[in-house]
Amino acid sequence: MNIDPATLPFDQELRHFVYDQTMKTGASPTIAETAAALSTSPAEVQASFHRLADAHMLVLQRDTGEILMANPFSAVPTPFLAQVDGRTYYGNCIWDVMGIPAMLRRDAVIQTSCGDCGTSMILRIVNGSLEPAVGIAHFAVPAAQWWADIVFN
Amino acid sequence: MPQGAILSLGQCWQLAQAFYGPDRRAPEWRRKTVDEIEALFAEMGFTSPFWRLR
Repeated sequence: MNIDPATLPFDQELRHFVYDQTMKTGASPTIAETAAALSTSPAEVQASFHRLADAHMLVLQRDTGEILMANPFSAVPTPFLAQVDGRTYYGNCIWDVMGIPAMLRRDAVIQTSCGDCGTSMILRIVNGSLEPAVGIAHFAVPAAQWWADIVFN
Repeated sequence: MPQGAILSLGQCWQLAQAFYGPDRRAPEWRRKTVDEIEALFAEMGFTSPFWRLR
């Protein structure tokens, strides 16, 4: 992707805001919230969201243009939940939900379930280490195709 | 349907730390390049065709 020097500073400021809010609260900001926080217009925010999505730095909800994923975070509830310091965060997959304590550098309890049989799985990250647990992580889509349909993946 | 790839939970945690450890709020943060990701996969022993990026 070609980076436009004219929009780069704003896109960096916006990305900082999106991640800061998501990391602090567990919820990704809306277009309206982002526009208010950055003292700009919703149209400017939408344009930046799309530039970041084109660069695979965000994934947007198809019909609204709101954030769907600011990886590793999901802006909508998923079956991959991390509890950190009393807050709830959602990941997009098992890899991403483990990425939440990795990014926050905090202990976490991860709740998910087996994608095959539905059995509950609880994982604990303590002091930067994964506590011993039974299970595997299954990747269905080959790496070269991950961004072909990132929502499915 | 192809089987896909199976990682241990420990390998998945390593992958999560490698990808999501850097602070994405930092202005200098950027996505890893394909070369960097391929090198990371190789370092972790992910050498099957499943992990090829191109």
